[in-house]
Amino acid sequence: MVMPMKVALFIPCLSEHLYPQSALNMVKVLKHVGAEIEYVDEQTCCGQPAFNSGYRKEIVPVAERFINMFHSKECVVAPSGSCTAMVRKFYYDLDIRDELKPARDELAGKIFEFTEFLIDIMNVDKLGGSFPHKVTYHDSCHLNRELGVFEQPRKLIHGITDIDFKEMSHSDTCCGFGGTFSYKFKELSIKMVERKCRYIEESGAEFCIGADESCLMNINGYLRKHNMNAQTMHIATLLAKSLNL
Amino acid sequence: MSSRDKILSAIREAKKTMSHIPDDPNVESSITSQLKNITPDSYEGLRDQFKFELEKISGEFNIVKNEKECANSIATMFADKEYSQFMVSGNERPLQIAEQIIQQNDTLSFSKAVDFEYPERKDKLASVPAAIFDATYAVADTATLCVPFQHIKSHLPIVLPECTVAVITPDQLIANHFELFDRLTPDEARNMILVTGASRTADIEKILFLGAHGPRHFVVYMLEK
Amino acid sequence: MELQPRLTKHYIKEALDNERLRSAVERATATSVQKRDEKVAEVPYWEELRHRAHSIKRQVIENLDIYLEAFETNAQKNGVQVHWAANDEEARRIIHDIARENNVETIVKSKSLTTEEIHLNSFLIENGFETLETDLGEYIVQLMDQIPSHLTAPALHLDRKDIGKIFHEKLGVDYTEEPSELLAIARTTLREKFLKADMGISGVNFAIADSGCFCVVENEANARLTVGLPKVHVAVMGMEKMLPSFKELGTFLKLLPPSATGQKQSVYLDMVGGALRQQLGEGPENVHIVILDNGRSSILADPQLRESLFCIRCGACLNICPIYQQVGGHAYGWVYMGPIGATLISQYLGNSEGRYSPFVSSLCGACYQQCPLRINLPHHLLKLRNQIVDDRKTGQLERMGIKMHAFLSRHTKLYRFLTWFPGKFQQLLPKKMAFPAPGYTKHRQLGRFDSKGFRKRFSEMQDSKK
Repeated sequence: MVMPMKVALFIPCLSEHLYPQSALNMVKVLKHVGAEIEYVDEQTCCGQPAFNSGYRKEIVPVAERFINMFHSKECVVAPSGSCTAMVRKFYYDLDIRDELKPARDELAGKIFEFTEFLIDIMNVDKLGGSFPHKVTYHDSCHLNRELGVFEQPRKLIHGITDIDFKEMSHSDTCCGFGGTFSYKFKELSIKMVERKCRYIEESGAEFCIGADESCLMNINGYLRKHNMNAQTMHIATLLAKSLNL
Repeated sequence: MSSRDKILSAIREAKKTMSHIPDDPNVESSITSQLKNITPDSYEGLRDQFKFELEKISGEFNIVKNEKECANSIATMFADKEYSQFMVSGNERPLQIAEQIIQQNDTLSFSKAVDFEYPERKDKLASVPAAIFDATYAVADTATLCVPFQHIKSHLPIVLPECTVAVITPDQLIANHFELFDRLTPDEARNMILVTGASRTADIEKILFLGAHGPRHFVVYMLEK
Repeated sequence: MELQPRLTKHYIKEALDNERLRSAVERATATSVQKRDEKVAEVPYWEELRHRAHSIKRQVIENLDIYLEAFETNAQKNGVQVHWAANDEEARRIIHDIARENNVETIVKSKSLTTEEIHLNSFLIENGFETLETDLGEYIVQLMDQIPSHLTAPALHLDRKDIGKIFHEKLGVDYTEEPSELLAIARTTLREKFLKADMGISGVNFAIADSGCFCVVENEANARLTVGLPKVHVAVMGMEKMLPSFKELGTFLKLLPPSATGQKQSVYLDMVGGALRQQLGEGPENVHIVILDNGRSSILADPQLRESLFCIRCGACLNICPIYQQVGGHAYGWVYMGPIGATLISQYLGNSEGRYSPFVSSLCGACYQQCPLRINLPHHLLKLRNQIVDDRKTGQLERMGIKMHAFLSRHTKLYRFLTWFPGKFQQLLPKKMAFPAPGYTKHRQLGRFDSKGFRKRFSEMQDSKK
């Protein structure tokens, strides 16, 4: 690892349009640990929503554009497990042109989700910081199961000296978002998020931390509509706040 | 084209395309060493494991020093349950024990499966509440008894009555199913029953009940001569 | 009761309104998962075993013709009569003919989803054979004229009241809802049938190619009595159920019980390699096995999806699926349900009938984690979604929207221009409101568009640092 690490930001659509704050907080934390930040101006979308809905040939040009845009960067970091998984894993299900396949491999080797980047690549130990509140953590499905990122967010949370961390029961049960699933099977999705919010409430946490805005939006949507106590917070925001960035 | 040929040729056609399935790492030495770590290496260790596993699934395990002690214990059990009849297949050891039982307790009588022709045999034996049988192997890991049909004269005593009693010996005890299938010859294995405890079901609200369609009580005697 | 996967959205809605069903399903799946986890924790080499099983099954599926032919030869040597059925209709006819030839009147069956797949029961009953399920859950479900709602726990969706009621109605016994009494009623009724039945029909859990025998794994002893008492035994086997030899069986017997029922080991393994009457003077005079294709060879043809043939029907994926846990099995509309069902439905029944099935999933991947055969179900569901899209079985509006979004994603300036509007427009809406999307905001608040967006804010942040 070469210091300073040059990080190209991969900003998911939800972060760009709905929740830029957590992405900005990610930038602050990355700078704090010594990374040099680059923002690729032309980025739009990685194609995941279409892919999950079954569309492949339609997004091949989108994926090729993305690969071209990012493959020569030193590394790419996203505040999202599902978007990272899309590029790192599911781009291999797309029939892209042969000439771009080496670039696809190259990119797959250096695109990371935020928490895995901090722990596994930047070798962050404890960030220290202060956040004297009770929090719990929701494991986003792609982050946990596709990328195997389970310990890293927990390490980062535990690294905050005065935080009170309580595991909720079934932290890794799906929150019911699943992208277009939450729209195609609304009632089913609602029941799933209702259950997740019940677990959050049972944990007694003031904040439910997560690493994917899609899940957090879904969970927060239910919490607010039903006037429940807990708030959601992206882990980047948690870290930034704890360090007073 | 027969269906057989249709099916086989469809398979052969399909085979021509290579799989897009991820490879598996070689796990053999890892399994072998981990298995070794958790396998008792003494007879006593295996026997105690068998007992532990059997009791976990509500079976009963008794150690006896000879056939007479075995017969005594079974006779008492049958008398307590107010049985007047029991059955054996016709194999030697259960037969010997059966003879000793009725010598000690004249309220008990037994029948041999082989004394009856089929289909009369099944009706006769279906009404008998208990049976004694022996096995060929006893698997410690799961408290499973292996009974190849090659070695018995009837399998009905194992499955029809509500109370089944098995008599095994130390030389029959083996560690696990992997060892079992190494030991069994194909002739033994191709017609056999593996039995692990009493029949059971949880089909009603996931509540566990013993004695579904087969035995409710499962008792094993280890004859340590 | 005939369900259609095409109506899955309707069944899901019905299930979501059925509180009694939902609490039965929630309770049963939670118990199963807990017990499974306990048993798996006792096997330190569990993950390695999954890999071993996966590689064994891959070997078998990639050489299925060779194993099937070996099995046939060896089974015939053992006196087992081997039949091949290309489809469900043929399988039914074969079994019917065997029953006729043997003057069968009463048939007992042990649990076999393969026989549900081929709609065997109703066919036999229509043709005058008394056909009785003997697995307790299946027996109950048969009395209720339903199909099973789970792979290994058929009556999972019913509670004691349902069962008490149906026993009272159909069997003429006094009403009781005491489970032990219900069991006693079933045992007595069915014992009588076992003793008098002329034919037993079973499924097959595993077949051993090099020895020409096959086995049923069970707990109730009903399969033992089904295959061991009547004079004729017919086994129905999906052709993918092969294993090369006994050596491989140990691995599968270690994986199946914890995954299926949370047990360390199932109570019975009934291994059949010939007619018992010859060997022991009891039981079947003849034994038949029906090797069933019914769509499996088309699944085999797909280089990725053939992995779904590794399935040993344990049901672990159902138990952990957060969707199955909410709605149970009937919501999927077919005999195979949950994640594996969602994977098989369009493959067996086509993209029209199965057009929604692969979408009944949030792709969470919990099923893949639990599957003892490491079948990558979410990955297969994604491929099946693609097949349905390419087969033009999805809505036109969605297709247009996706194409437009893909186009915009490649034209940054246009993309930014169009996504600028919602942010600006939303500023006109009251603080707490977001865009009303149909059905979305009834129980959930949709996120609000940010007025500036990341790119703008980021560049402001960079400028302020200078």
